Amino acid sequence: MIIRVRLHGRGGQAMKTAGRVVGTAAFLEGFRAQDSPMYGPERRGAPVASFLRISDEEIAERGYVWSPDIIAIADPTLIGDPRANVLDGARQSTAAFVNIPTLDGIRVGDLTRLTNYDVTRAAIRLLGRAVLSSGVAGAVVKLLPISRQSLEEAVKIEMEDIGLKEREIDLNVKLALECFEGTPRVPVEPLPTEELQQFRAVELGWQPPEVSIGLIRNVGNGVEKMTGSWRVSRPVIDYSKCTRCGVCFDYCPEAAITLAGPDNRPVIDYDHCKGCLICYNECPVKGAITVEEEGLAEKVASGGVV
Amino acid sequence: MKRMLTGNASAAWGARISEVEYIGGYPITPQSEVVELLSKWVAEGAMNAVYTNYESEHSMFAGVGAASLSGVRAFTSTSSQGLMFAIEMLYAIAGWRAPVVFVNVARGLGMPMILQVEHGDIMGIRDTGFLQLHAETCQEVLDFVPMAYRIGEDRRVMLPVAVNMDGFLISFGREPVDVPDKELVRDFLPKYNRPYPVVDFSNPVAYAPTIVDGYAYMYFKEQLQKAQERAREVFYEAAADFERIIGRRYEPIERYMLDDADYAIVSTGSYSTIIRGAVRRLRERGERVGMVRIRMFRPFPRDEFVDALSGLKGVAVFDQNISLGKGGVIYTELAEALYHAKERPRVLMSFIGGLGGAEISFDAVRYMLERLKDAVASGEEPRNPNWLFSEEDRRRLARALKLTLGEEVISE
Ligand code: SF4
Ligand code: SF4
Repeated sequence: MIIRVRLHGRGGQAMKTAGRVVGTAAFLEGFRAQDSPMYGPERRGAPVASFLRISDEEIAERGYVWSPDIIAIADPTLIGDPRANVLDGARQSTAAFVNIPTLDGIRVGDLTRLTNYDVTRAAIRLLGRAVLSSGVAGAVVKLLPISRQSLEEAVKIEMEDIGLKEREIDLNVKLALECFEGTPRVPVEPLPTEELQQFRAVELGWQPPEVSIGLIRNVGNGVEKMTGSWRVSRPVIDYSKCTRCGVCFDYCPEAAITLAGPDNRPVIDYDHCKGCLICYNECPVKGAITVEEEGLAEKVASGGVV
Repeated sequence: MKRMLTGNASAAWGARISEVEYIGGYPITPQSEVVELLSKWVAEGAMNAVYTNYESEHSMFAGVGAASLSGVRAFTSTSSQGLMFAIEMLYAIAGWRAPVVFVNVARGLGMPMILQVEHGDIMGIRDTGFLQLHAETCQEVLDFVPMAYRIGEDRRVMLPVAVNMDGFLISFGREPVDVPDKELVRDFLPKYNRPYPVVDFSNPVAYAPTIVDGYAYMYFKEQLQKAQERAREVFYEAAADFERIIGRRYEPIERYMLDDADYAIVSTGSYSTIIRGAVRRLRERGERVGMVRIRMFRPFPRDEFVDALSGLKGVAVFDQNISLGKGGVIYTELAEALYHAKERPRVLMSFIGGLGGAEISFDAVRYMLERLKDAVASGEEPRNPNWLFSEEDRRRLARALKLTLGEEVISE
């Protein structure tokens, strides 16, 4: 039996560490275990995944988990993000954990075995910020044949490994155990190796340069990528202080600011503002741009949870 | 019209008659003369091109690649350490499908530092996606430049091309070279017509995407391989037109005295002149030996080799390079090419020699043949690779080591 787990989060939410905590917990429990992360060249906020395989037999697999038995979603806005591929290879019986206060109105494809806990709130209460590794690990361990003790021990080992102080380690253990207790258990049904994706070879053959030379013809397709969902902090312009100097417009790396109206006022496109706060740093007028923490509710509303 | 030209000047003339529009330059011995001549011609107005001196080979290749993407015919040249410094950009240019042509002047790779010929540099870029044409003579250097543009710019290919010549022997060596008329070359080489150039502002495009998924990465790599494979048919078409218009005939490999041969020696580059001469002399003594020389190294002329070498008793490969920990590169690739041949030669032997311009004489060629015949006669598996290191080389080495180490470590 191999249980395959895929964790989805955003850069900065510590899903790599979450994977490590669960991997170590499985190892301590006496299983064979394998964990690995994957991310692209993008920044904080961009989709990140990490993978776990827990088994009582040889693990003859590596890397990306294409057919997950469990999906853990640290950020619900990822469900509607086509780049995150949260539903890759999922089947109806795949169990899914979502970091969200309630499952009311939440759909994860056609998955039926959904469970949840508000890890973000617990993390902010205990740690003072939305670092989700220990909490998501606790929730995932709840769905696995792994004990509380192994979870506790694994959190200590992994938090010490990333250099946390004793107090912070204790708080992370608390967070992990709270999420462990608070997450309702749903059944997990591992897929036998033989039933994994079939391989059928195809031949593409030579293709003309118009399609095969690695060019982007559909220029401007960047707007389709909702980088707004990457945002952890939101810049807000106070028009009573803003002098319309246009500096923020010049500096915004996502071209998310336009100058509008007869007075050329800067307007932020929150679908694409990725929250880098360069505008905030460059604005020469004190208080013209302020920073707000991004709440989950607004993100769910604007990020297209299905 | 024929005139005495160095290999470097031949390369520059090749670029000039191909009417290149952009040239990137950076000096390195034994190549500098190529870009010096081109910059002079551009300054004098003899060429309608833009010339840029770069601060490094890495930037230089980035620059010519970008120029080619913008739809102009781009040229550069370098050698050895400079090529190795630029190698990252070579993968980029091939991936951009930018049909740049660059002339490599083969030189050994330090340490120890050396200026003389060895093929380690050109072999070191064999996996980048560049096509490769290897010249033996100054005339071939010149002819291969327009040939390279014709093949690389073809829709079916769209790949950069490296034209290789040997340092000093060819780069600084002069021989009579025919420089074809610009008009004739225009007939042979149509204008470079890139689909979707980067500076067509009414049809904006972007190049060089970053990919995060394996399937897409595999797709583009496979397309590079497919384009390489198609370059073979395009070579034959280009060669036929070149012969019709300019009057010289080229094939991916040169076959010399192979009819009724039992043995053959395979080589590439300027030392082939020595090997060909020795083969002719050995023939006069009744030896049934011939020669095969590589002109096109990428794509590897697999079928041509199978055709040329099938039925022979033994083949010796002269590699002027060494893939350390493995052996000669041509030997290794040829072994693969011949593996499934129905009548593959019974013995394939590997010889390493001429590194850093080390001497190869008529007698060294005779020695290769003798060893090959012994191996065929004994029926035993030959030991590979074999180093062509002579007693005279040892004497010279003994003297040099005595000077550098302060004691006699090898007796003369
Ligand atoms: S934070 Fe400011 S600079 Fe950064 S993307 Fe948003 S609007 Fe642009
Ligand atoms: S930089 Fe500041 S003051 Fe200037 S336009 Fe932007 S918000 Fe207004």
